[in-house]
Amino acid sequence: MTSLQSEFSRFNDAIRLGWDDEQAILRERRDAVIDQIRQRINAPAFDVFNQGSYKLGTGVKPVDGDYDIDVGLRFHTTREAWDPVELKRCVHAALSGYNVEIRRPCVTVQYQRRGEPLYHVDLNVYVPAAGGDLLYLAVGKHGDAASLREWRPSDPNALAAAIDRQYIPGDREQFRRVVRYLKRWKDLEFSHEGTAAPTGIALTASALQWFAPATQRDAVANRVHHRDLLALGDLVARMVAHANPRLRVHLPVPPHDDLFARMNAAQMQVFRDKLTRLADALRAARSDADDVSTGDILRRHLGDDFPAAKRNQASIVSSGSAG
Amino acid sequence: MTHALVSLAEHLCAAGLLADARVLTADALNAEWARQHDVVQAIDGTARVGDRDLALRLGLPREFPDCLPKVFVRDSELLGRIPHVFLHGHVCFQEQEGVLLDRHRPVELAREALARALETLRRGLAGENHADFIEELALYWHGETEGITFFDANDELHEVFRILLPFAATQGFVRDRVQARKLVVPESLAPMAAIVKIADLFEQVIDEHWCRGLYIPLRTVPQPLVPFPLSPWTPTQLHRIVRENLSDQDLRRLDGLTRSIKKNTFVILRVPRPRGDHHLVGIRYDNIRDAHPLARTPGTATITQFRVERRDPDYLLQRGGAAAELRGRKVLQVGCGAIGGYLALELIRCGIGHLTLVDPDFLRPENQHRHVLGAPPLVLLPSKAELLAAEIQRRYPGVDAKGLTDTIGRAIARGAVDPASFDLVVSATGDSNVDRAINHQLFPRQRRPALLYTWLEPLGIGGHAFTSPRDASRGCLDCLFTPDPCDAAPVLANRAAFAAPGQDFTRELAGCGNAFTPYSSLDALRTAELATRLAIDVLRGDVGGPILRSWKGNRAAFDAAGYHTSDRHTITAEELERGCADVTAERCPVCAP
Repeated sequence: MTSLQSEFSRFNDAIRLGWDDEQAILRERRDAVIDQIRQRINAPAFDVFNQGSYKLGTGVKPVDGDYDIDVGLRFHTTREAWDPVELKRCVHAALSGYNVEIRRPCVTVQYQRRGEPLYHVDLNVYVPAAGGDLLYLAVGKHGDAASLREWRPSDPNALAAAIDRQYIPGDREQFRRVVRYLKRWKDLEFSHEGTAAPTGIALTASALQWFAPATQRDAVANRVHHRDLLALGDLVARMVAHANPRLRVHLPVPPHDDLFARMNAAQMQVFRDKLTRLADALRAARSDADDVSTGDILRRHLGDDFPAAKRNQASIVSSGSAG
Repeated sequence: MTHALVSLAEHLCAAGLLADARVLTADALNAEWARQHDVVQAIDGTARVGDRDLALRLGLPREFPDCLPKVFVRDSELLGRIPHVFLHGHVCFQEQEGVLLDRHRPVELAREALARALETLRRGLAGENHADFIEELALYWHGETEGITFFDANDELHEVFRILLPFAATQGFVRDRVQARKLVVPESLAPMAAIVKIADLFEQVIDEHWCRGLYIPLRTVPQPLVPFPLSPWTPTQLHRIVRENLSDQDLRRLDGLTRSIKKNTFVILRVPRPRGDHHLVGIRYDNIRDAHPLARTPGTATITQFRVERRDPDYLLQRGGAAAELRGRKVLQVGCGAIGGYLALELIRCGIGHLTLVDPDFLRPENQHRHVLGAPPLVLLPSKAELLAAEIQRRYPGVDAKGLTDTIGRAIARGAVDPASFDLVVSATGDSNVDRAINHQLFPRQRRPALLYTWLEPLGIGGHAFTSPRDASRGCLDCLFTPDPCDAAPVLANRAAFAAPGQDFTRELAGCGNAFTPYSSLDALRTAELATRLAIDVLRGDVGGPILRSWKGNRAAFDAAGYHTSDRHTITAEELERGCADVTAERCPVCAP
């Protein structure tokens, strides 16, 4: 049996999207967008919060270089005072000079400066509901019929809270890593555009439903080690087992919709087939005793960021023992 | 005080233990029996024991009530009739050792002591404890101590020899001339004995007093004679106790050996005790006429019974709490430093009979406070292994200890030691690289000894002992150095360590000459104790598989030096000492299939 945990760890480091290091530039760009809105908007004041994979800590670097930042803007007003599309139009207007587009769930800013990564910021416009943490999300775009413009009840922070509740810290990190692996796999397997690909949030919710921490205790060192290969394999196997024929995963928090609903039967079939191949590969990897061939299997499915097995531990250290 | 004594006497009478009680005068106490037992006050009286009225005496020693009172039976007729009655009628009703006395209730204490003495006498008169005469034969054996037995008191009837030990002013009873020579030449004169003339002198000393005798181990527990002779035994009584308790084969051997013994000789008799073990007692036969007095048709001789001081290895091991079964076990110990010094001595004290020590190093003066041997002697190249072996030989005669000044690798390569001939190989080098090399070389062997490694960590944080018993096919030292396959950031480190990996301790280690750690001797002692216990458990077959045991100490010095502990250090001390058996590393380069 092999575990390649060290390689999984390096893979995670390679694909992980955080606010540190090279992603610092993205943070600056996001802040520039928000600053401009604050300065120019002709609407009530708002505060800002992270949401999406940034908030969940499950972000992965895009394979096509198009970074995706999800930001929530909570306006200090009520759904009675504003039409949802009107408020989004104010945000759009404040961003003149940027490549901005109003989409049904959000306002999207596309951006690329020479020498910097391509990225887009999805601005989600909310107003608070009376009492509690619940918000209303502004849904609709120009030209939508009145019936399609709505303030939809939403709890954008509930998923992060659910993850925190469900796992102890070490296991929570494994959860996040496994979600990242799945998302990287998805980015490689599916064309970026369109409804053919499962969304990141759908995969995250699937994990919340079926992920179980996989660990191994080192009784001598009194340490618990995580076994990501096992955890990922088990999760994918459970997803395949529940896809009969459709995989249905409801957001465990409001608005509780099926996150795979937008995939049609053919797309679901493709997804299921790909997922089955991944499950088979992970099963093969688990039963392979050789680190190199296991690494090859994983690289075929998780991409070239999955590193080759190598030992980089120091060979001369202080022994700390005497007689 | 006399008043108190009168009150005590009244109390004993009221309790029905004593009648006609009267307090002895100071004059009456001015006598040999009182001096010998340090009795400063006494009460005489009579007691009803069985169907007899016995004249008794209760004596209070100077230390009473911090010691037991003495009880005497004033009836010389009972001497030799019943066990536990000695000179002056002293009744031995309770060993002083190991008892706790209620010093605040002296009257109760005296009353209970008297009651117990009466019970001893009752059992004696009823014949219930007659076997105790044999059980405690050495106590009842007539005569003075005339020497020390050094030969192995085994099951074989054989010749032994008496020698004079000129520097101890006594005699020795030895197996042969080799043993005699070792004993006659004291260690301090050993270098001089190499000079031919002095050696001759010692040989003369041996020759002048050389006397041939017999060691006779009785096969069966003798029946105690009635009455039991506390005075010298008659020739017939001695003849019977020997010849009635030997096998036919022994008797033939005895008759064969006695035929050639003329004039003066002696016998060391091993007498089995009813409850196990045995006594050694002596009989001297001088001026033999006709035949040996123990021959089938005995001759006559002047007979003197005597007692001996025992220094035969089995007896000493057992008395010292050592296990006789370990005497035949052979241990190879690598490393004779701070841990190794203590370890070697403790292994011997536990009863190990054969110990080979291997260490290439020499004792250094700066280590005197943490080495069991202290300061090195002023000799060229004071080898740790050889000096330690010599010290063991000096302190524990009969133990086979050898020292080799070499690395274990070279010693094996040149055939100076054959690991396969040992029951256990212990490494106390504290050098992980040496230990791992031993493990690499020995663990995979088909027929290998049990392996044990012990080491300590800096600044009093703790110490460890790890063993792979003989038949363990998995779980070796290298398992501890093999990272868990699921470790996301594997490093080269001992998984058992209390110190977190990646820290440099070179200057803090007890083994390093640059720094003196005030705890190092105690740490080494504690580690050696842990290792010795584990070694004994292994040799007794009480360890089912590989196991790691550790002790953890005060971390104050460790913390103060700015070091960090590992997750293993959070395990409770109890659990660490109980040990961890789940040590096998899946991908161990040495023991994984």
